[in-house]
Amino acid sequence: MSDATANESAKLPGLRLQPYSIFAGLLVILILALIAFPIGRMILRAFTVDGHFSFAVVAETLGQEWVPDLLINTITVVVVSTLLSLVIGACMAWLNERTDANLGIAGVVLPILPFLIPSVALAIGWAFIGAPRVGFLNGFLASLPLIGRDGLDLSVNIYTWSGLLWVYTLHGVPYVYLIVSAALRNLDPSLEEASLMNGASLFRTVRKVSFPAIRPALLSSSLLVAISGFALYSLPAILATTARIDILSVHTIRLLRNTYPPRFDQAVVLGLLTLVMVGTIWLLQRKLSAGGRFVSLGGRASASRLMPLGPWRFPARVVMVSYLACASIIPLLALVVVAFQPFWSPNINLSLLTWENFHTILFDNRLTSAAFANSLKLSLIGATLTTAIALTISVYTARHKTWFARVADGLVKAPATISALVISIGFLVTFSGPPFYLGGTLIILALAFIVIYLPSASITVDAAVSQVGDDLWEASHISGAGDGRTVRKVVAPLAVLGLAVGWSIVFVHMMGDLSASALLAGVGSPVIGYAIVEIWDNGSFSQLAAFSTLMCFAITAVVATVIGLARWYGRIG
Amino acid sequence: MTMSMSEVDRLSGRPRIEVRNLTKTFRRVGGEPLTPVDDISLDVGAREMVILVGPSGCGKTTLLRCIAGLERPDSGEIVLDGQLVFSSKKKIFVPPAQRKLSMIFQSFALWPHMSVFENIAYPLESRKVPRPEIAPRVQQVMQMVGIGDLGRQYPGRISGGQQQRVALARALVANATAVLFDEPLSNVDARVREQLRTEMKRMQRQLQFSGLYVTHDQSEAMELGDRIAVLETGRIAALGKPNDVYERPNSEYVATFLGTANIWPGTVTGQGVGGVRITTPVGEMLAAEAAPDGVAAPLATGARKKIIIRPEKIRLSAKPHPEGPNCIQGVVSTRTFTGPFTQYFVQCGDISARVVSMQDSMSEDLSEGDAAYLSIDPRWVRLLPAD
Repeated sequence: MSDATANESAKLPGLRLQPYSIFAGLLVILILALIAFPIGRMILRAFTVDGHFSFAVVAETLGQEWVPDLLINTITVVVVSTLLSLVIGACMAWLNERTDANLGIAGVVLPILPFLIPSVALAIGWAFIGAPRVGFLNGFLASLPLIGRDGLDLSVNIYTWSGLLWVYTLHGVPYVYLIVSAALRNLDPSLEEASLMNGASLFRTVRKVSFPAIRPALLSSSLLVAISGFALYSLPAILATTARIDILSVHTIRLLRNTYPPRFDQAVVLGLLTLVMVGTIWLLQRKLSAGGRFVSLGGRASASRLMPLGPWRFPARVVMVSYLACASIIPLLALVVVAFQPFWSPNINLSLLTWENFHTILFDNRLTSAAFANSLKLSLIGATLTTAIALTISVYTARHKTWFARVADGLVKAPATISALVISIGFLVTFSGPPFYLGGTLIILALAFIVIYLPSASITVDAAVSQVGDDLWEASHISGAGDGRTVRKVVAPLAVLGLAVGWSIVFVHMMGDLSASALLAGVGSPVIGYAIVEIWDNGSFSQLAAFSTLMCFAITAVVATVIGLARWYGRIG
Repeated sequence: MTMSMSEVDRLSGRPRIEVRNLTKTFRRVGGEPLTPVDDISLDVGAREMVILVGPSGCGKTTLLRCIAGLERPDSGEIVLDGQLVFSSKKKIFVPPAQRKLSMIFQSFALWPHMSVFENIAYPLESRKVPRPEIAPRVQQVMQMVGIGDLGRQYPGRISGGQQQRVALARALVANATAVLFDEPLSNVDARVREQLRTEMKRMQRQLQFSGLYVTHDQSEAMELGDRIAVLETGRIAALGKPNDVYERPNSEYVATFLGTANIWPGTVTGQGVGGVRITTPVGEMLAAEAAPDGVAAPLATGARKKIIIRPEKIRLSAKPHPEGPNCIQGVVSTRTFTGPFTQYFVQCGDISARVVSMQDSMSEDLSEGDAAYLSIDPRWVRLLPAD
């Protein structure tokens, strides 16, 4: 009964003064400070001159001659790649959930891919494949007899608009797939069967029933892709710069990193501009999805009701497998090959392969070895702290239906809409100088990482926590255990796999982070993202490949270990 | 458990659970407020099992959860073992962890990642019982409920009956004030339920814990309860020993919720030595007892009443009984054989009377269309106010 009702139980004192609630409340206030303070400082910086309110800074920045191109480019890339991601992701989700072309276990792996391969590795891998002349694909095309160097010119170039859109789309598809396939799983297949029984063709059924029924999922997933697209730094940093396409995130960071003296004012205004654009999309999503709370329809029916695709089954599978390969295996393979080459070459000569690059980055190059160690340390600690904070607050919001709990819940998910880039700029202008002097330390980076990746952790942890039935909590309370003990002894052990997944997502993001690292790390405290930007600027591609390969390997090893341990622990019970 | 017995004796003068004028209102999102607990007062004595029974939505679970501390009432008081744990006036709310109650959930809520032993030890660990004392006490309780050898098993690997015993052991191990039961048998199938119910009854008699038990199943309520409270939309409609509430229902709601009943309108025509005479659509009836408790004793002639007769109290025969009062003539309209008993509907004028006859009763076996005579002992004719 209490599920459907607004509980007004917060009026009396008592529960709220539990030590657990005090702890959770303090954490919420800390997170609030870490978000509000930097954003406030940014706004203050953008709208004041010598302590007085003024539009001068904003006007000066937006009046620059590069601004119109910057905006047009960024919006074009985001909008086009979002639409492409939506079409591809939704079709793949439908094929996998509803038809006999489904890939089984590969369909389960698909949504996990983006979380295991940092986007920077994806971008570098595709640079190795599609660079003009030296890219592996061009090498392969040139070696074909008919096409060859003298025949048709089929060479590709990743450093172009189409190359940029291609990789952006590869990056966006999994988000759509994840949300849409979940929605389809909750959609009663009998709705579609009813349409087929009533004489509609398969195509008409999909167009008129399946996709309209999950319209909110289509909408929210594409807005999510757009939000992450605006903030994306790693892909354009690698690809758009060489292509001479000016992208908002890259330009903003360049103003702070590669300009002397750093143009703080302009960067702050561009950061706020990003915030406004992302905020607009977010509001749009809220408004649109609030109007269309479609009734979710029945339980999951038997998995046997898969629609036969007939002759289309094989091509559908080929397309899906190709996507999987393009998003993971092919770029990873390119990274590995270059990592073992003495220098990047499209002609793979097995006798020349060498471990030299790995030796260099691990033992000879101070920057990369320190960066690797720092990132590993930072990500292990950061992921653990972030997951612990997410769990603490998730439990608090799940058990206390007060306004404060609602605010806390919104707060831990807010950084997702503020974007890593904006938070990093805020941290840079707020905490690096007086009175904190945290610039160039690992602490500022750790704090930024926690704030930036808290939403990812929080969403996963919420799902894990909600799977622990209410009666198991209540049984613990009745047995004399308070919130703290209940979380340690009952909730955390039962939600251990979900917590491990949340931890892993955060770990991968922290290891592969580029934007916060580029801004907040320094020579004295390098991390992987910082080192990647440095190597990219100063050019040993083989070392870059070896470094990225090592990062992916470390991520896979750690995540596999953590998930394995969690499964093992979960199976004991 | 020896310690608990002395505690029971010390406290036996005072109810374990006292609920005073408790009210809880939910505000549905964008809808009417709902009051599942409406000014309820109720006591549960030492070693007593009180059953809260009612249809779904009558507020019985909400009342139980308020007592447990899982819901916060709006007003009233709750006293456990003499200690005030909730008072709206004094602004007292003791959280569930500090209430010294225990609860058996619908699902049993055994923690799947803990062994049976760990599950049962949990309340002791939570209440900071010294470590050396824990193992012997857990062992003792496990022996008591008959699962002495299951300690290392996990809840997922034992049967439903064993799970219930584990849940009971976990509820009893810390010598809680009382055990709250939230429809613990509603998720198991009928055959197992029968068995678990008998088991539960035996355990309660043997271990003599106090309990407050919520169910929507009236037969479960009557079998398990020392007293039962029939709830109707947030209020207690009847409270008493199971046979009293069943035999002397104080309202049509209670009469029809606990089993089935023939309820006919009537008018009082007089009062004499044999009881109250009353005219009904089936003829003149005699009711031995003046009225159930709570209805004013002297009955004015002409007062409008309802009479209520349980179907199993009616004797059915093919020939009229000349000797007694309350003999009604009719025709059998339907006959349903169900195994242990046969149910008839007998058309008596405009009224269709429901009659249940056990296989081995004095009633004769009749067929559909047969003429039938119903006779009812005046003791089993009860009077209710006509709304």
